[in-house]
Amino acid sequence: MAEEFHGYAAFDKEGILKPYSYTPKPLGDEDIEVEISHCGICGSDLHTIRSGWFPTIYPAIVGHEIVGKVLKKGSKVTDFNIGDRVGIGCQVYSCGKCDECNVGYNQLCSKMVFTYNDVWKDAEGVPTQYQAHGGYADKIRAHSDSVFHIPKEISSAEACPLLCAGLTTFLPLKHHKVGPGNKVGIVGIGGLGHLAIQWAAKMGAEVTAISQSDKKRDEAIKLGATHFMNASDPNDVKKFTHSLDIILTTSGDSNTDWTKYMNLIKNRGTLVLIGLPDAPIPIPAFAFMRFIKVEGTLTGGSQDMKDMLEFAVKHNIRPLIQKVPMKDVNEGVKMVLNGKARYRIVLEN
Amino acid sequence: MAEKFHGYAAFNKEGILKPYSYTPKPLDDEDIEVEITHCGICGTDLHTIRSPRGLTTYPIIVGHEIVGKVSKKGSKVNNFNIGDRVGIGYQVYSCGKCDECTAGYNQLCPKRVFTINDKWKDAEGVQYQAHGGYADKIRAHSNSVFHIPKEISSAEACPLLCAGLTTFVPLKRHKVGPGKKVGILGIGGLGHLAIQWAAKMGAEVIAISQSDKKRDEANKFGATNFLNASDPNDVEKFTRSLDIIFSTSNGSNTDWNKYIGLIKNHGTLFLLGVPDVPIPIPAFAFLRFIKVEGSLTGGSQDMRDMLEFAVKHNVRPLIQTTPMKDVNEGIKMMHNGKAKYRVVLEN
Ligand SMILES: NC(=O)c1ccc[n+]([C@@H]2O[C@H](COP(=O)([O-])OP(=O)(O)OC[C@H]3O[C@@H](n4cnc5c(N)ncnc54)[C@H](OP(=O)(O)O)[C@@H]3O)[C@@H](O)[C@H]2O)c1
Ligand SMILES: [Zn+2]
Ligand SMILES: [Zn+2]
Ligand SMILES: [Zn+2]
Ligand SMILES: [Zn+2]
Repeated sequence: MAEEFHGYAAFDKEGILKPYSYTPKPLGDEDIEVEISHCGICGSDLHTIRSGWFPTIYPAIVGHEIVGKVLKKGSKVTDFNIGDRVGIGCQVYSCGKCDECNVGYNQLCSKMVFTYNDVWKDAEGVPTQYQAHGGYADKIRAHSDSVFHIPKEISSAEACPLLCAGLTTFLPLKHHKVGPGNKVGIVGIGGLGHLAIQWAAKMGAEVTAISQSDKKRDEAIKLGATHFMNASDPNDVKKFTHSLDIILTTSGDSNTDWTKYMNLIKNRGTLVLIGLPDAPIPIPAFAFMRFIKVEGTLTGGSQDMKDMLEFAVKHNIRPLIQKVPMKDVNEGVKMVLNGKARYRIVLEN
Repeated sequence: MAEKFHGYAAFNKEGILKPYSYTPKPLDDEDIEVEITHCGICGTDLHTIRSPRGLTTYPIIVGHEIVGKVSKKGSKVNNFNIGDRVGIGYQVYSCGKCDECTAGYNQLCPKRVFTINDKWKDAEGVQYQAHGGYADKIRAHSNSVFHIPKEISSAEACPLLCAGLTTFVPLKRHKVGPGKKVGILGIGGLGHLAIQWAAKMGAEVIAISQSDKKRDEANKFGATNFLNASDPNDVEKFTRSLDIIFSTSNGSNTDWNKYIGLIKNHGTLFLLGVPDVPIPIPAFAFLRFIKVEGSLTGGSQDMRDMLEFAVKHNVRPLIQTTPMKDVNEGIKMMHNGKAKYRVVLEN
């Protein structure tokens, strides 16, 4: 009988997760099988569950902030041993050879396979019958290039959010060489935002945490923010007008008031969209007339992941998490949906 | 009696221009008065007349691609002489001292005055409406007045002052040159100059048009390839092949998904046309690390660099001239897409 992995899948847009078993891809020479101990709940999981960006292939087991132990490995895997504590982020395969992989953008590899809502391809790039399923489960298989050692200083549960939220926020800050003298705004203090504040502060920037209410003020300052801006307070908005060099927005809400945030940016500054709403983002012309650049980002490459984990150890950066048993996954999802998570829910097997 | 300048103004959104006279700002120490011989008709003029967002103050004389002769100058102006042939673009004042001016971005100067639909303020706070080039005369600060090189005719110089500058500056800043694949979306007043700049800078230029009609002309301007955006095969052929697209579309009815699909990962969509409506950018574009940028004309040094480049590489607009008194005809040609590729009014 074919081997099966067991997890919790969404069966439709309603997004109630129910037990589901599937046949995993065969373990290739360069693959690793991981016994999952923890998995974070990312905003992208929720978009996927409800088919927000693209139609989702149901049933779908989501989850791409995965930590566990190496259970099996292919014959050509030399840099991992059985029992090693490892992590997997948003992707389970990149070719390692193409133009994108060569410049460190494994996440743009034309042969890449996402951790979930994707299909494994064969050597010729032809889709196989094996669907890629994520980390709300007991096990997962991935190519060893997309598996990372978790440094001993970081607990398994705390490592999870670093693998997507951490990497995604670290990359644009690193890319823009954020540091002393830079004024950085972080919109949204959630799973991504609370890590972005910490990275930017430890890189030496002057950080303004921007939130929809006053509730997270104290925590934001503790995380390293120099300033706190309540975006619902017109005086605050006025105070920060045209004052920031770069803003990272982590809101994935289609009702986000982009114009308001663009107004906070200096002439010639940059808006990095990290949270991606389901609807197209309406960019007002005046922003361009002030030479503001708008860009996005997508997770990070394999080397970025290693750099990020190293930076986290060196500067003692950890997510704030709440643990929920894997079987209560629907509770966990609800907490994120209702904005109740402080700041990341991690499922535990 | 107060001195008056005479031009053709719009009195409402209908946009029929009629003769109108106004009292100009006083000629200050550093100002120049220009007797206008020519003025180009730019898309922004039509946009301002129509005032889709209700931001226009009527009556308004538009026109910001102005060439003429220096007829008066303030006591502190020493780099211009009476009779010099000069040009004025989208701006008639910048302070020359602030951070933006110092960085070469005079167009972002907090004290700037635009050539049209803006107001001059004197030290006492008295305001004078800034009126443009569909007129007999105009006054501007000498920082915003430029010598026209002798190699360029007055009529041909006009479109360079807005369309030329607007397209030249971002191409230059993005280091367009050999090895770069550059798309120019829209072959009109801006686009036909953008193709020429990019080609002369050494890039591989893909002219992108909504039909096949302008294919031959695009090639004459220097385009290496022509993409008919209405032909799905053409669109397919160029998928993810361009480093950067400079769009001159005004945004309405523009299928941004289609054009973003032509851009490589890590590439840039650069918006030169100022859209009336916010541009809906689909999230997937940002996942491919595509950047979206735009710009607003250029600074004073940019203007001089552009004119120098035009002389050196023999870049000229294609124009049709019309007498100033037939300004409404000229505007109609622009509206109907009949202009090839810029209409210039002549006094
Ligand atoms: N580009 C990528 O590669 C990538 C990777 C991972 C995740 N993502 C995306 O990033 C987004 C955020 O994920 P997350 O896990 O951080 O979610 P999250 O924990 O829910 O945090 C999002 C935060 O955005 C703020 N927010 C909510 N509605 C808003 C609105 N209308 N205007 C402004 N701010 C608003 C809230 O913060 P306040 O209470 O402080 O206002 C909220 O805590 C999701 O869309 C996810 O899909 C993208
Ligand atoms: Zn994620
Ligand atoms: Zn690759
Ligand atoms: Zn213009
Ligand atoms: Zn200035």
